[in-house]
Amino acid sequence: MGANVSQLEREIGSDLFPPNEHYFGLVNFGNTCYSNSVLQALYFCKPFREKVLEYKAKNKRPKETLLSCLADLFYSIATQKKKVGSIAPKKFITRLRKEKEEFDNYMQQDAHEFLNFLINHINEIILAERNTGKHVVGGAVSASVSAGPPSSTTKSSSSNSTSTSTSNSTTTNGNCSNSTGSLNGTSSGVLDVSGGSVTAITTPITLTNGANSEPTWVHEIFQGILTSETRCLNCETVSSKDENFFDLQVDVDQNTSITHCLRCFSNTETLCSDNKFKCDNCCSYQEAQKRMRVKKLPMILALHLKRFKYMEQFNRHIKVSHRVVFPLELRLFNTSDDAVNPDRLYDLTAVVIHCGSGPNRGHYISIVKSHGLWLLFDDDMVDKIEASTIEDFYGLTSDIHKSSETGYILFYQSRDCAA
Amino acid sequence: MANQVDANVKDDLKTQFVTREGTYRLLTLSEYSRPNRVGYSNNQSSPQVRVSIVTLPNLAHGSKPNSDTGGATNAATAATATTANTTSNSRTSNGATQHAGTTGAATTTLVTANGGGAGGDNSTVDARLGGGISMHSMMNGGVVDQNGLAASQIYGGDRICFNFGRDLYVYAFRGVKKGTEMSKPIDKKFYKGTNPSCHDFNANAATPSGAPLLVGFTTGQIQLVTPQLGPRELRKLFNEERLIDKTKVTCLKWLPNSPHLFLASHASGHLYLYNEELPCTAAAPNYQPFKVGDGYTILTCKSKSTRNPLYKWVFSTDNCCINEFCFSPCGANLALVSQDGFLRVFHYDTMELLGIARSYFGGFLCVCWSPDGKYIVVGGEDDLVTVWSLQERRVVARGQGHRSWVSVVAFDPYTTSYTNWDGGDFSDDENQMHEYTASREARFSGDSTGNGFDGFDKNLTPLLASGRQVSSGRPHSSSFRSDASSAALAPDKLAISYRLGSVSQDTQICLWDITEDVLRHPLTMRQRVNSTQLNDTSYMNGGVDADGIKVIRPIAMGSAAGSPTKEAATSAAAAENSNSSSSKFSTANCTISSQSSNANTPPDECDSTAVSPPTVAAAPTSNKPSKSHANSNSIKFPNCISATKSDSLDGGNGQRPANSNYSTSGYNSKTSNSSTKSSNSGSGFSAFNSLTQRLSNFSFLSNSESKKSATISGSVGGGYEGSNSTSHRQHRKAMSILKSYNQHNSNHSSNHHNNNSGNSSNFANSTTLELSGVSGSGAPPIGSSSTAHSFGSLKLSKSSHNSSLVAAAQSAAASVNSYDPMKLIGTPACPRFEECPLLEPLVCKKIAHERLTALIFREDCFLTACQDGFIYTWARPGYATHVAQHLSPSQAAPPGGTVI
Repeated sequence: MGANVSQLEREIGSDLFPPNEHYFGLVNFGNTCYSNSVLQALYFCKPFREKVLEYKAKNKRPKETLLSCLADLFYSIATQKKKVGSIAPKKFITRLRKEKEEFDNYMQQDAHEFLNFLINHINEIILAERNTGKHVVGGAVSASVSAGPPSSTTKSSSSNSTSTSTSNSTTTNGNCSNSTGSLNGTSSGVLDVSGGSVTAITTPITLTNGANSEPTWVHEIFQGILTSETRCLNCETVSSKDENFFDLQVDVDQNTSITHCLRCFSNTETLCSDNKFKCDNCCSYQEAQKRMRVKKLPMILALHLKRFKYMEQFNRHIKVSHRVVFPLELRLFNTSDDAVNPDRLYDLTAVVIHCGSGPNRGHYISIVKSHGLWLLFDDDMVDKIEASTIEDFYGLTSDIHKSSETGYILFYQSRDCAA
Repeated sequence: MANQVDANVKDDLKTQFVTREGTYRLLTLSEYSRPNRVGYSNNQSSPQVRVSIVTLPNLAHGSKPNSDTGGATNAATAATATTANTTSNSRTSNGATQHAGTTGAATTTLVTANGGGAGGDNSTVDARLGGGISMHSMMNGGVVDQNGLAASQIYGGDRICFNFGRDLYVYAFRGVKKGTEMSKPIDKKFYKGTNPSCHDFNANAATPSGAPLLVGFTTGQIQLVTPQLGPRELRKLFNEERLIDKTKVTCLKWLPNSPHLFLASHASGHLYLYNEELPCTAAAPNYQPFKVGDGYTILTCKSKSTRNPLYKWVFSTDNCCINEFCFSPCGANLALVSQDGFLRVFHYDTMELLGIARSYFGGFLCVCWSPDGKYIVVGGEDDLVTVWSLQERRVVARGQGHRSWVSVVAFDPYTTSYTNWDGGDFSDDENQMHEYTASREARFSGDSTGNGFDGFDKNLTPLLASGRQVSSGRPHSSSFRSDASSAALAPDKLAISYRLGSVSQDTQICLWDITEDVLRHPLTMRQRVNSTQLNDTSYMNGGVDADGIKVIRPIAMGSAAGSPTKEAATSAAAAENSNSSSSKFSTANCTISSQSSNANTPPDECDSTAVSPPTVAAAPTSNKPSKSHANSNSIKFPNCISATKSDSLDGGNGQRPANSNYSTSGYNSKTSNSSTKSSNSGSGFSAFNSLTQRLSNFSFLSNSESKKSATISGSVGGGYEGSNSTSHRQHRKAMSILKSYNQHNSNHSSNHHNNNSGNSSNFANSTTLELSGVSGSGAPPIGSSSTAHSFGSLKLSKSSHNSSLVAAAQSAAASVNSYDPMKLIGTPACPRFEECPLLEPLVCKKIAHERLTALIFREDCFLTACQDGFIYTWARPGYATHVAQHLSPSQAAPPGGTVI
């Protein structure tokens, strides 16, 4: 990669090479591209990187945690003498394999699962360190969050979510998949947040993580709030509840845009038949209409395209290579009426891309935007790409091709925090 | 759909759909594509498949001297081949001679042509385009069919050109009458090393045998060819060495009415003016600033002799790849949309920026002017169709219905319905006015009786029949017309309902009806804070009705009349009656004048000179006969008031909300939602279907009539004044409001109007307005608008449109305060989502498996193109003759449904 590296430098040009910026590939330790791609994306999420480096600066001799390993890795990249090169995240991977046995092998993993785990785990670490001495609340709470996939709970009207309650388990942590059966539909697409378990149906926004009411910087960066409004068709009572999320998981349809997928995410769905809603007012299970909208827009909006669908006829997960376009700039249409900053403007900063034909094979790479340049990180390789080539990662309009390179996780960063 | 991974494959594509005007049918025989259809090929990363079409002048039917007329359009006869001028060589001869011709004629650089006339069939030409790029061209020229007749030189008729991958094809477009002859393209070219990315025929230089065709390439070159038989003297290459611009050519357009000048935009964000007759600079051009505007700079070549490019336009924002640009129908204005999410509108000759709009997010991909030049519609990566008013310089509506990026938007000029009666307003003659009112009334009644659909048609027909005057029978005021004439299609007609089509990457086509009531809704709901004003007497009508709908209707009328709130105010001032009309008129003027909303007022004034008197007259007359009319006036009055209030006050509230009712039911909910925040006002945005609008107007009129008509109609002059007084009251309020809102300058003017009934007064007003406008130019929403406004008024008064335009343009220049989308949100250039009327499509149909890339409306059909390289012809209702048999029985069509 030496040659490649220098070539990258040449391509960018010494004049244009951003000062104090380092483009380092990450060595693959055997199917760790899922980790590499996500780490690169996170590294180029400016607020996240800054916080991690800040953590590194503040904790000179920490007990080794995943966060400390991450901080070391980021610090190592940020302090390289060379501008480009590659680096081996050995310590981080080792630690990761210790932390979670699902990752303790050489199998291909789901990048979103990893992201989900990583963010939550970091959050828990922070909470734990904050509450040193006390019993840590964060971890316990987070587990309780039932993260059912969003619209999946009902026969999603138009949202085409293939997922009935069964599907979509891949992306989320194992624990979430089955919860969908519950009437409330649970948190949609929520990467469970530490405090995220919301039970009170009628109460507005109570962040249940009251124990640690002080949000961590992970919250500040990634956490948004979904409000789910449910209208009982019997008594017409509207109840709403809020749920925290770290990312949104959206179903994908052929030839659509991420904008459309997000709108579908917030489509009104009817809870009926065996999926009725337990109305507190009626004190019984009733048919109801429900929709989920974004009440608080996060600083960094992570969108997970649910491209791995469980197909019953095949008894396995199939990759959905649908062409889903994503603009470089985004606003949300599916905000709630009381949203604080409904027209927050987001810029696409990173995309984790899945290459290949199925969830358990293939490859992950990522593209990131840095100082106006678009870079492609493929493990230890770094290339400059033109923004116009991003369209190669939208997906396929036909199913003829078995393999595809498709955007899988999108990172949108709010512009008002960029400055 | 989509529960299955492969669900999309199973989706049925629509081959026909129904709208209120009838059934559109896909003509399966009129399908254009590559002659040899190969299996699926992945064209996804290829340049967008675009379609250019041109209508060639027909040879006279008799035998023209030179021409081988035999071949006239359809060729078959072709007998002989006298030398046609353009087709220099004898037709009879086959390719060989033609080749000779070609080679000989190939004045320009690249052609090493000689095609060797392999066989008699096709002439082939190989050419190098420089930069390692070459072209292989095959003309289906002098084919001799088995009968020994030269089959294919085709004269006249239409030519269609489209690109696919590295290929470029030219066919005779045979419309709905005949199927395609896929095996016989007039020209097909294959390029190596580059792909054609865009193209444009020059209709002005078209001859019966062909038209000059510009082709732009992904590598930056621009080629000029004439796809026709015979000598190809037109074969030139621009930017051959890529010294001018290395990036992809994104859009090419001949200047309106120019045989030689064309504009080319590149992915670099630069726009170049070329003269086809001039050579390009031999070295990389040196530029010097020619004009510096707000956020843009125009450069010119620094060279002794005039060389291409003549001008280079540079824009200041990042990532400003120009995706498309388009001249207004009158040719005076240029609209550009770019990847940075901006619509920029220039007065082309003065190079002055007239206004900007910003996408809700993402790039703007396509742009189109309304047939009357009043509105611009753009589509983009926010999945929205956005309507921008040139007069008001603001986003007036958004359409949501596509599921992905909108790749092409196009007005359908043949389905846009107009109303004649507007014209009446302008005429001086009161008598005529009477007639006018009467006719108008009749019309309304008619509409009311008919269902909405009928009403629609009716409106349409008169227009088509002869422009506005038909029904009214009134002569137009000459001055007006002249002004209007600048508007291309139907200068004298005032559009009441625009038909708009859009295609998207979601493989769907959407049709939209945009009625003026929607377009005229006041700016942001947020501005209307609250309206206690609703209580006003005038208001009362609306208020009394309580149902917003009725109230709204009036607006609709008014709006139809064409007064946006501002205008409404003006109109109110003008006179309730004709106000609406006048307002429209103003709008018409505006189109030309292109002033901001303010401009509207001025036109009104100008008009008002003419108008107001008539209005007065009209009022009386109208009172009884056309209650509706009178009512409408009265209504308008209230409307206007309300409108004004709404603008400033939010007064729109009650009414506006009512608006929400409008038409599309689904819509309502949305509006209501949005409205929730700002109470009633939210509802204010309404989109009326023409039908509903008309009906509503009607009904409303009746209502209002009872109340107000008395006052208004009461006396022509007196009544008018009386109305004024009422208006005046409101006016005062408005004034106060206005202070807070500069935008409402127009209101001001209107108010003034009210006060001053007379024309002269109007003028005076206008002057005042101008002053105020000028002073107010700093106005928050858009300073430019206000300034523009003032200008507009002046000019209008002068009634010299063009000049006014220019002046306005100049004055308007530099109005842009910021290109920062963070600052533009919530302004007229980019209203917040809930601040803007939201339209829903009339029709939304999936018609392809691949993303759609072109949409062209023609009189008897429309064309769509798909990224898979197929161009489809859809017959309009009543035109699908020969194809009928191909329709499957199932398609036979349930007329009632919106779609099958």
